[in-house]
Amino acid sequence: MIATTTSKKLFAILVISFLSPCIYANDFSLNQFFSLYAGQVLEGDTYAGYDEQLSTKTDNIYGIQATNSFNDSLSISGQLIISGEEDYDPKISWAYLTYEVNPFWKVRAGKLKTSFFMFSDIIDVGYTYPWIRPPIQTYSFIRYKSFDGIDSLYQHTFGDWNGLVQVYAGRINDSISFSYGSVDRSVDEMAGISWSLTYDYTLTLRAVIHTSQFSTTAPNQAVTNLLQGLEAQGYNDLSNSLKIEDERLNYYGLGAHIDTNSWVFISEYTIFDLKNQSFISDEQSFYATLGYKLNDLLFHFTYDYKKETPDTSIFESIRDIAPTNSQYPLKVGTIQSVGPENTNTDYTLGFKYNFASNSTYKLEVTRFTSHSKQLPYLNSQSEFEIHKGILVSTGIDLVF
Amino acid sequence: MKKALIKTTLLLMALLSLQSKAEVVIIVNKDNQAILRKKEIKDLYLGRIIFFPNGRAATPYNKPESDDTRIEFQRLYLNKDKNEIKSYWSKLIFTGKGAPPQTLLNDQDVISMVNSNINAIGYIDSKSLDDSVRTIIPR
Repeated sequence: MIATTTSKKLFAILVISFLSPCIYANDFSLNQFFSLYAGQVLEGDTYAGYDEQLSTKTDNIYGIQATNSFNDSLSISGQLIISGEEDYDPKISWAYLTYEVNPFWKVRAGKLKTSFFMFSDIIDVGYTYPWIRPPIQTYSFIRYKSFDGIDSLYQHTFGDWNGLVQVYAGRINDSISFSYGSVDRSVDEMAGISWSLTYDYTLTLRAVIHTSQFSTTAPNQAVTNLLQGLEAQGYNDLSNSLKIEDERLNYYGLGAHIDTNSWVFISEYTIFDLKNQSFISDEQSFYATLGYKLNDLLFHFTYDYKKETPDTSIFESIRDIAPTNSQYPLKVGTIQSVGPENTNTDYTLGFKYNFASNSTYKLEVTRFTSHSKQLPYLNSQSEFEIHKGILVSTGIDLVF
Repeated sequence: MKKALIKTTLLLMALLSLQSKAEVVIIVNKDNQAILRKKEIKDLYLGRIIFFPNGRAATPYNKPESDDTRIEFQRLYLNKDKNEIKSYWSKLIFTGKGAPPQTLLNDQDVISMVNSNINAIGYIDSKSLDDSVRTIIPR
C-alpha cells in the first residue's frame, strides 16, 4: 500500500515535470523498450511462470523512460513499465534526481533499481542481454527490484582499465501477494558496494557486497500455523525468536563478462547468507554462459545452478520443547516450515538474431531439474522429490 | 603482353577494393591542437571521457547508425559492430547512466559543426575532407 502510494506520487511528479513547458527548454530525452514472448513447458512442471499451456503473457513488457536535464549538473529521470508479470498494471520502475558532482562522480537520490547482479539494473530490457531472461536460478534472488534511497557512482581509470564504484544505502517497504494472502515486507536498512572493472570494453569483472536488515510477516501458511501453535502452548519466547523480524542478511557476488567480436562469456557466483536462526534458507548460486557470434547471430549455452540450505537448528529448538508425542503437530509443522534442501539445475540452449539494429529475435530451450531433499528429523524419511521439465520460449525485444 | 594484362587487372582490382570501403578521417576544429591516442578516441565515443587530453571539453558527433563511414569508424576505432554498439548504449541509457553522442546527418553537417564549435570532434569520409578543419591521426 505504501509502495503504491509512493509510485503514484512519483508518477505524478514525473508527468508534471515532463509535461511542464517551462523546464522543457534544456535537454530532454525519451527512450522506450518492448519485449513480446511466448512460452510453453513441453513436458513437466511449471517453470519461470510457464506451464503446459502456451502462454504469451509472463515475459511481456513495455517501458518508457524520460530524462530531463535542468543544467549541466542536475537532471531528473524516470522509467515506467507495464508488464505481463504485474498484470499490465503500470509501475514506476525507478525515478530519481541525479546530481553530477563532476564528470566522473554522480550522486542519485529517489527510487533506485537494485544492483545485486551484473544484469539486475537492466533486467527489464531484454534487448541488452543474450537470453530471453537472465538465468532464473541465480536471478530469482531479486525479490526487491528497487529501493528508496541514495547512491553514488564513481568512475576511475588506470591504464586500459576503467572502473565504476557504486555505493548505495536505503530502505524498502512493500507487500507481495500469495495465494493465502498478502505479506508485508520491509527492509529497514540496506547498504552495499559494488565495484566493476572493465578492460578495453571487452572484459568486465565485478564484485558486490550487500547487507540488510529485514522483517516480513510469515513467508508461508505453514510458518504462520507453527508460530500460532507455539504461542497457543505457551512457547511465546520461541515463537518470537523464530519470527522473521530484524533478520540480518548478507549477500556476496562475483561476476565476469567477456565480450569479444566472436565470443561471449558471462558468469556469476553468489552467496545469500542469513545470520540468525530463520525459516528462510541460505542460498548459493552459480551460472556460466558461453556464446559464439556469427554476424547477426549469437548461439549460446548456459548452465545455471542454485542450492537452498534450510536452517536445521530450528529442529533442535523444537525438539527441546516438544520431546513427547503429544506435541506431534508441532513437529510436523516444523518439518513443513523449515522446508527441504533444494538443488536446482538448469541447462539452456538458444540463439539470438539481430534482425535490425534495434531488434532481436530469440529462441531458447531450457531443461530444468529440481531435487528436494526432506531433511531427516525424528523418524521421518529422507525423500527426494523431482520437479523437472523442458521449457521452450521465443520472442522479440526492441529498443527505440 | 600477357604480363601487362595481369598488371592492369591487379591494379583495377586494387582500385576497386579501395573504393568499396569508406576511408574514415577524424576531424576537429582548426584551432584545436589536441593530440589523441586510439584509446582516447574510443573513450570519447563510448562516453567514458568528455575532455580532450589538453583539458578542453569534447563533444563527439556521430553519423547515422547505418552510415558506411560510421560502421567503418566503429570497426576501426571502437572495435565493435553496429549491434554491439547499440547494445552498449542501450545498457547505459536504460540504467540512466549515459547517453550516446548526438547524430548529424552527413559529412557536410559534421564539417560545419566542427567549424563552428571548438569542442567538437567528428569523422567523415576522406572524400568530403576540405582544409577548413584539422584531421587527427590517432597515435
